[in-house]
Amino acid sequence: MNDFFDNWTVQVRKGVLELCILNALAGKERYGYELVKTLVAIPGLAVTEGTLYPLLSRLRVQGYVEARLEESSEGPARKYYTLTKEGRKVMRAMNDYLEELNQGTRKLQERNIP
Amino acid sequence: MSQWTETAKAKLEQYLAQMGKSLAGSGADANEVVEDLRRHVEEEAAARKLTVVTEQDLAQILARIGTPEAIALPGNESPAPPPPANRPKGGLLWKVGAGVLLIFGVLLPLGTVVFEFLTGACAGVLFDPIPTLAHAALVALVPLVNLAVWVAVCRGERRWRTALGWASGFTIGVALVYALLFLPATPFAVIGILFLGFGFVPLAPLASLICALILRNRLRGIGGEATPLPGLWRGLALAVVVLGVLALPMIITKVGLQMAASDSSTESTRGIRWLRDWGQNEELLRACYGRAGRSGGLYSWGKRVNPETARMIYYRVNGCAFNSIAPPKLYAGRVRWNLMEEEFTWDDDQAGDAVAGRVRGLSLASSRQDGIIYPDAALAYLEWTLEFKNDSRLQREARAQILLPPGAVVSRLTLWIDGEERDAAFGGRSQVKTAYKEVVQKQRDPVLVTTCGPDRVLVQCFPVSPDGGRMKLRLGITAPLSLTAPDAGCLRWPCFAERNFTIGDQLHHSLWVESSQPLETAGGKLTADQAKPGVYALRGQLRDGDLFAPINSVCARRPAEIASTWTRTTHEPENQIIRQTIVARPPTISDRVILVLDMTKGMEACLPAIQAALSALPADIEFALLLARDGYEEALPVQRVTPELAGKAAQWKFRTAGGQDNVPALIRAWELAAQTKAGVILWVHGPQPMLLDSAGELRQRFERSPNPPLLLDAQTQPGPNRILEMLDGLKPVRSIIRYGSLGDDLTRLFSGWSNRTGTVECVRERIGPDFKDTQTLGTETSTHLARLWAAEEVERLCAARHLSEATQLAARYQLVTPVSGAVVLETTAQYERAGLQPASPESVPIVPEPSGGMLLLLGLMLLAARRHK
Repeated sequence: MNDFFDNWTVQVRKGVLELCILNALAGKERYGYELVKTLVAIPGLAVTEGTLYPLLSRLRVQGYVEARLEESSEGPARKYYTLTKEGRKVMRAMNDYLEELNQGTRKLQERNIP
Repeated sequence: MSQWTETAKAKLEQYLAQMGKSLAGSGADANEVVEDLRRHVEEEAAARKLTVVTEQDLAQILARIGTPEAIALPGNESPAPPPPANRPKGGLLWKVGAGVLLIFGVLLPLGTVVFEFLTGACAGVLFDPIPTLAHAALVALVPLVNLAVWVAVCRGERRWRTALGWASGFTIGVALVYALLFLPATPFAVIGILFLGFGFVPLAPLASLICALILRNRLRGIGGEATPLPGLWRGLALAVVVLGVLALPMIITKVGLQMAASDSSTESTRGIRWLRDWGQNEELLRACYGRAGRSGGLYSWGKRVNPETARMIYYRVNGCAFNSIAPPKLYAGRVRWNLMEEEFTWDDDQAGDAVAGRVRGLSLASSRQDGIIYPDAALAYLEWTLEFKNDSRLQREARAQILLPPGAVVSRLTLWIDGEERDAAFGGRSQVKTAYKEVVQKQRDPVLVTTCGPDRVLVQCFPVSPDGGRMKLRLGITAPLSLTAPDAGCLRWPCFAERNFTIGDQLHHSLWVESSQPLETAGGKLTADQAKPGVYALRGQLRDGDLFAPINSVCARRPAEIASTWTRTTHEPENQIIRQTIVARPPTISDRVILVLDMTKGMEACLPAIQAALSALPADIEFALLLARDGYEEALPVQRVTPELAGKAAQWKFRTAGGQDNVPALIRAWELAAQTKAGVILWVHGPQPMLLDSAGELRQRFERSPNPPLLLDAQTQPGPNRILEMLDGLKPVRSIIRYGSLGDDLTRLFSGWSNRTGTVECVRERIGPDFKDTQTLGTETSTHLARLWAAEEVERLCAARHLSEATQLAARYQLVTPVSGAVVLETTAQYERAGLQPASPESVPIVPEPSGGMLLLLGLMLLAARRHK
């Protein structure tokens, strides 16, 4: 049961992690450290910074996010990330799909409640 | 910035190198990730406020950062694509179905909207389905949303599913409302398609509704059966609300109209107030013409208010007659449907007794008044030439109520037929009316003039030919001057009180009047000049609204020493002599004055002048003020005039509203004025285009009372006066002499009472054919004097119930009186059939050519002078 659940959570996290990054960038531009801290703090997501940076890089390479460096007076230069038009489109499609999936799941759940 | 120990630095580099290696083939940029991690570690150290970063600190930070999980490593380059959507099955049935949905759900309704927008076909025949741009946008949305849903369904695209769900719900609501509106036409459309092959247009709303429902069902399918599609009921409700909001002004007006037309006076008054506050004027105006408005046609319900009632309500709401403004555009038929629309604007009042509503396409093309004043006899003869133009595609009848100068009579009528002048036949009122109606029915060219109240005539001419056709006529008017002193008199220009044609902003009445004595006007809009010694002219142009204004009246000087004039009449079997004597009348000493103020909208502009004039009231009389508003209101009870009254009057604040019924206030004023021996009612008012209350009681009081009060009438704006029409022929009912501003004229009237100033009047009499010694009669003058005498004699005979004698006299003198009229027919046969004889060219009066007229006048004066010697 535990193994099965662990495997399943990995699969789910695998599915939603990139969507979480895109959603986090949907509202505003964020710099890497801030973005990573935000995502790490999401309960249940259980993700480390070491995992997030490669994903961010991959999204940038795929053209869904773009980044720019800006000097900071408080420490090292900051790297700001924003969603591209394509990234926004993909994010909406992913959200719609997830919403449908959730609704369907809930519907089944409700039908099975005696 | 933190300091790093050497070992910490080395450890970090080792970690980053390992990380870079592990990322190879992950789809991420390894160098970029290494740099990002380095930056992250540095920020973390800064966040922890480490001044020196040791190996131990780094270990803690790196432990937190961790290593990339499997999800970020090779083999997981891109997010998993969404699973394939539930595309519709690509079979032949679906392909055919999709084609049908595209045709009936998109192309047919879209084509119908464009067709209706360009041609107004439905608007011209049934009702306007797209009365506003907002309606057009809503209707166009139905096929457009159907198209969007169709595309989404065909592609299995679920991205816009939710938004399309809402849009589809909304447009289903719009399509449903329109399908219901067109439901009565649906059976005819089906029959049309089956037997004639056309009739798809009325079916477009129903077709688009069915297609929208099918497409919505398909749209729900692409999300999976378990996923509901939002927005059906709420979208539908929203559509109904939006259409309701667009129709709200019309609904409010319809409700108000129904309330105002109620038999219950309380309900009716509430309806009028409702309409004054919230009503849509255009919708009301359409009701006056018996046609629903553009948007009104969309939702027909409730009891139909007939045009007559609607016209009353329009006046009570707006304070002006429905026909005093341009008619509303009826629907929106365009291209050839425009003709169909015009067919529906048939003039129901043709050949009737009322001016009624404005007729589309009919206008006044030109207007000129030429006149001559005979100062010795204190009279004038004016000719008013009018030309009408008809731009519509139907024959039209031009009708107008013309306000004549006080005491004037129509003495000539001419119509141009094929460029030739034809003079009228004068006969009994019913005789000429019957002749006119017969000829109108045969679509020939007649013109009719009859009286319609004191100093008012109704002119009717038909047909003004369609497509730019013109009709020209001329009215000859013999008018006495209103004498203001033995050496001066004034003449008000004849003007339109009511008309069924439009007068363009650019049109001016061309005026020219001549006299052997100086002429002037207070208004300053006309030019007075002296062309040559002894010839004075007043000329210029006035807009239609200015023609009524007393300030533009002609003020003519006259020789005060000539008090007696005479003329020979040729209208009698034996030459009769008619004499006129100017006599001074003692002042009217009134002991009580009741001022009745009309509180109709538009009167507010006159109130300051009236209030100011009250200071000239004589000090020894009683005064009361009645306001004609929602019945009557005794604003100032009967009291003696004091010097403080003018001061008090200046403080009065009156509120006008809509159109008011003046009859109750006049009846109350009659009661108050009749309580004394010499009571006077001064009625200051705007036009009274509708008789809201029967004036029969008022007339009865004036007729039956042995000592009725004097009713002095002062109308402030041009327009009909139905109350005065009802009081026609009553001696105690008179208009005050107007030749200045309202304030000046009232002040002059009050001052005359204060100073006990008498009046000057003309007395005309027939002194028989046997009178030989004409030298003793004074100055010989124009034969128009005989016409004025005859008009008065007709009035006397009518009062004595000698109607047959009165009719014969009027016909003999060729006058339009309450018992006679003038009609021009086209052929001799028509005259014979009607038992009428057209006036011979020798017997009709003319305005001589400018110089000729003066020569004639001078000749007459010389002749008279020689005889006098």
